[in-house]
Amino acid sequence: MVGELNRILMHMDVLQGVDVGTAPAMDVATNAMRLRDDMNAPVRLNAERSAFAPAFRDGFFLVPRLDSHGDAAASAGEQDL
Amino acid sequence: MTLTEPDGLLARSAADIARAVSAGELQAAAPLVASMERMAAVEAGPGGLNAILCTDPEGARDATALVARRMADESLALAGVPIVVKDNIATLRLPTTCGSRILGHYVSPFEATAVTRLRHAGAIIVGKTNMDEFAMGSSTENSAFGPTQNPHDTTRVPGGSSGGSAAAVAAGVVRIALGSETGGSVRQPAAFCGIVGVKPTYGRVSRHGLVAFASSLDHIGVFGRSVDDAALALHAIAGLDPLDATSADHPVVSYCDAAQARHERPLEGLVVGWPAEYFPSSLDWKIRHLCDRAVDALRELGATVRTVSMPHTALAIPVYYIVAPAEASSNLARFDGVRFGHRVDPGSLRGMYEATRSVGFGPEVTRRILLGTYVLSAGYYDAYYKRAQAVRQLIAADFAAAFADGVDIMLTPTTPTTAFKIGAVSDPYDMYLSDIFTVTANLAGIPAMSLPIGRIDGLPVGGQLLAPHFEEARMFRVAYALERALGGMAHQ
Repeated sequence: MVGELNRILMHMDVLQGVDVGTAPAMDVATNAMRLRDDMNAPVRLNAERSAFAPAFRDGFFLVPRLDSHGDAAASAGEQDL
Repeated sequence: MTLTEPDGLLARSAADIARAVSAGELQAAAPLVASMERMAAVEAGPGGLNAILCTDPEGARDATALVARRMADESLALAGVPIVVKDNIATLRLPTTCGSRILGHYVSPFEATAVTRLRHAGAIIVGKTNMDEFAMGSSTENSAFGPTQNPHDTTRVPGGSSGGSAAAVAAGVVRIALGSETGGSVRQPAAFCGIVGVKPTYGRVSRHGLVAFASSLDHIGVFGRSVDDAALALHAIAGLDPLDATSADHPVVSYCDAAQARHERPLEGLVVGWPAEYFPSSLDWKIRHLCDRAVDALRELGATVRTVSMPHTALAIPVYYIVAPAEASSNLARFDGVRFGHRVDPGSLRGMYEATRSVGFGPEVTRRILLGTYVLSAGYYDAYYKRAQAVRQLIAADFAAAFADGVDIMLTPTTPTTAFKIGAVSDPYDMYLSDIFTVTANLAGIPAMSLPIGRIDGLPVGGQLLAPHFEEARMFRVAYALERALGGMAHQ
């Protein structure tokens, strides 16, 4: 995988020699984008979240405990996640 | 039985089927029955196409009964017309797996706007179709559910990533299918399978319910067995949608214009651009010849042909394979085993993230997430991502300059080769190069389509039309005329 990624990145190097002048970053939706009111879109769900969540209880998604639970030093390391 | 020549009902156009159902000449369930029988025939056994991932016969039968009742009060443009939907577009009763183990049993709690609009037009959803995992690929070999075969030669790929939808249309299971495009995933399989594939303007069709891959490049597109089938389908799904902030408030006109193509010189006054960079000296001379024949046909229809230059075309693949993986690395972060989808739980939080994603994603998706994360990382962002976005602007400017200079539409090959053998392309970058003529339209956001222009050794070849933003009606006008002018030659 590393060798493949390096070979792919080698092909990307051609971009370093392109004169981009003052070209701005592309905004593909310049002609189409519009703003909507800052509110949740009214998407009606056909199923409760509990129906498709791997683990769900009392309105919360459940996840496994941290490896380091109870170990303060290791727990600080986990916060880097 | 041939795999590419449907008989009976499905040999008729979608418009004709809908008209017959609306007029009471056909029972609303008859096209569905024909489609299911055809599907059973082409999918059967170990040699089956593997185009369809799942079906819902009971739901489809219920839908035909509903269509029959609605016809009493309203006119339905797609009354009783069976369709299939790519498996990254959300449907309510059928799973939406994206061809991935990580969503192997996922059923969406909401429906994509494009699917809703097709149902409201009277279409019947027959099933979901196979695809490269998360739409990352050009051959449909990257599906967790096995590769799809090309109906024209079952030892070859149908193209990708929407290969299941293309194969289903080419095999006569349906006249119309939904696909999605990020870099050519409708047009390239349409070319490989000898059918019509359309990518609309960015914003023309709502993406609500399309599982995001690269949000500045993603589109929902349509397949049709003919130009008219594709026009009917696009018209049904186009238009503003409040559920998609990128959908455009731009007038939608009918794209169905078959009558105009019957005029003697329907393209009188039209200027067709011939971009030299899409016809490199390395291009297969047989593909070049078929494009030349299509250009000659356009001239006879009244068009003027002009050579144009698109000097940044060769940079499109490097730009695309920086921008798309960068956006994918962000979009696919949501698949972590917490809220939906597959979870592998070795007993710890970090272990769950790692195991879920390692087991859930296949090698191409993993490759692109790593690539995208790298080009966005501190120290490399300017050199890769920022520069790619600037060059993307230059590619879009090439199109803008040509169209501003009086070119109305362009014609190019859709792909540099015909369909290749399953397993023949193993190097990822070689696979990326099969998108070389299609990614530019996604980078620029312009509409484009592929339609059959001939065959090489029995394998279909597609010609690509590229038009200015929101000029789908013009693109279809040219496609109708070219399809009619080429006639049987398009499939020889």
